[in-house]
Amino acid sequence: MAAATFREDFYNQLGISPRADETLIRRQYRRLARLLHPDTGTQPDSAGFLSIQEAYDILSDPIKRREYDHWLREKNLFPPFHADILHGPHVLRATHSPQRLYMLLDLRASKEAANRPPIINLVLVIDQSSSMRGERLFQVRQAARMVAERLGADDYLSIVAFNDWADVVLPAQHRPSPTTLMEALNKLQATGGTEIARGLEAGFAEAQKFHTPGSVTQIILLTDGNTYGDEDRCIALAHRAAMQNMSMTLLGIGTEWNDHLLDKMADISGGQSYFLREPRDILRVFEEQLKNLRTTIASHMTLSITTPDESELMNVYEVSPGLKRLAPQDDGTYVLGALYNKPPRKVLIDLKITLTGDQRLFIPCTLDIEARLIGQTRPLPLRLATPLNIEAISESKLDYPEEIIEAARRAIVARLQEQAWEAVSKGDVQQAEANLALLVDRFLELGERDLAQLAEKELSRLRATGELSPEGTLELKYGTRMLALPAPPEHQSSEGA
Amino acid sequence: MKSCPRCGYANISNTLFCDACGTPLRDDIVVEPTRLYEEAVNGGGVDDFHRRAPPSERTTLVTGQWALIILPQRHMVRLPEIPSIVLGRGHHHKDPFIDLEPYGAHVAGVSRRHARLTRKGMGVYIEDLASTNGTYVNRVRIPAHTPTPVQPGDVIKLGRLKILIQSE
Repeated sequence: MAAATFREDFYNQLGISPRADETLIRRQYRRLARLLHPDTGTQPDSAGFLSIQEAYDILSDPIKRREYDHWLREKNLFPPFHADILHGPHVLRATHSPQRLYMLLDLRASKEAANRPPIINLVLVIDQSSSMRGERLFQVRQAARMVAERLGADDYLSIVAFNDWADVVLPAQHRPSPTTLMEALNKLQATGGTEIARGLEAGFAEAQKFHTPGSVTQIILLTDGNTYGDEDRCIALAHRAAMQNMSMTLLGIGTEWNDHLLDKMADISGGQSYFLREPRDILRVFEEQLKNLRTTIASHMTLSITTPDESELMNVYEVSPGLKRLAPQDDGTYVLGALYNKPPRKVLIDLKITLTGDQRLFIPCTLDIEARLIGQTRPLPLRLATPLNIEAISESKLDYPEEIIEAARRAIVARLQEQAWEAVSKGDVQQAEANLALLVDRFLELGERDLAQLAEKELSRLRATGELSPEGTLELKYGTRMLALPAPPEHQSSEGA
Repeated sequence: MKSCPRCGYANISNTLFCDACGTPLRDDIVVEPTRLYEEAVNGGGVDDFHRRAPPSERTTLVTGQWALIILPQRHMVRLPEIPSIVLGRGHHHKDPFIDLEPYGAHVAGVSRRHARLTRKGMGVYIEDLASTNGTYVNRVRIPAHTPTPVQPGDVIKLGRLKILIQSE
């Protein structure tokens, strides 16, 4: 009977996700009511006010809310993922001097939405230069066999080997038979140099053969060498992959590869780059990739952040599933990469706000998320803009959610280590030493003893020789990326008291 | 504006961690070096994180890792796993040494060679090295040249510099 009064966008109206608890629903309603109220609001909007009123009437009543959730589920209208924002502090101070605001964007797959596993279209692009000889190629063959065994009958696999030229050893096809695969893998011969762009171009061609909206297409590149002169072609390919909704996973093995290039390609395509210390790590990373691909909800997500004059965007960090500072693309958007069933993707947005008027409410920024969902031809847009109350409150009385503190704690670690590598590359040994010394403490505060010891070791090396070891640098850099926020709680906690 | 107690950097107000050095800028941010490690061991997620037991009720993991938390900035110095180390001020010492100068040791009346920390088995002992302003364990002044056991949670004071003892 109530169904007639239900509309599918009640959660969106209040700018919350179906994970929100009662406290958050109430707080969010009050914020919006203060903004939109026809008589007393700062941005009066009677139609807008009526629709949040309508949404609040249903969502604030546990019984009506359950009926509504049931109705959404029946109609298959539950969004495939939730987006929530946490603010720290949860109010702004009434002051005209600059103040900081942290926002944590939490994107996660919704349990309610029907979840069909996508068709996997996987391309392995394998370096077969002479340095890959022995253990490395042996492990590649093992890992490829594991991948083929675990693929479903509808999935696709292709393998490209490259050195100074590229060779499609397994053209894109459904799960190959063991004999076909063995013949393909036997063609891997470790000779010659490393020219990544050639391998990627051939891999890209294979990827396109079976790339559909219902498939999740990934190119996994494994290399152990530096590529020369074709960096721009590699970057261009990463852009093309992103445009076509494919991602790249880039694996560097040993210490002779170009981490900057691989990182950049990962950032552009929304994929990940890894440092593999041992050949046996290949199998583990392939397994992880396969698991992620199987549970992909959105193959690609981007975020754009629009700030009013009063807000200045300081930094944006990914704090889950990995830890790194995100750099904006040329068009100002941030590539967030794919969303899997688990873990959630969390982004820390660091703002400097200088209020000018004497308003009671302020919208620090507008977040526009664009997600390319599996099986959908058009990206799903989502806009989030939460007003915050402005109160006369002293700084010491401010309240920060625990998760914001933990995210900010990690963000500073990402920043300090980035500055350390910058200093090293500029030859500023003193700055690099200072940053490494700080990192030792920060790692210990996070309980990361191994990384702390590693940083300490590199610090003494730097003091003694003025240089870092390539292996230590890579281990620290990629080790820091693993310092994501710990596993998520099952229930949404409200934003402080 | 909020000056970092450690490096003096002028941070924007409401900042949680110093932009220059990462030092926590609010008193309510706890530095617990062993926290995530414990979680990993106990298999807890963020839920446990929020319901964390106070230190006294926590199961102690004896791994021999000790740390000094220098108050009030809560700056942490890890104790290296060596039999003995001297706390004081300055650089030019022959034996293993922790220089407390960066934490305002001079102003707090810490001597150049103030106290020695010694490991015996799983325990740690503190010995005052006839310092000018004395060494205190939980507000009680200890006699010079007498190793006194300390436990995690104890606050030692070198002159006026307070240090919290922690261990995993």
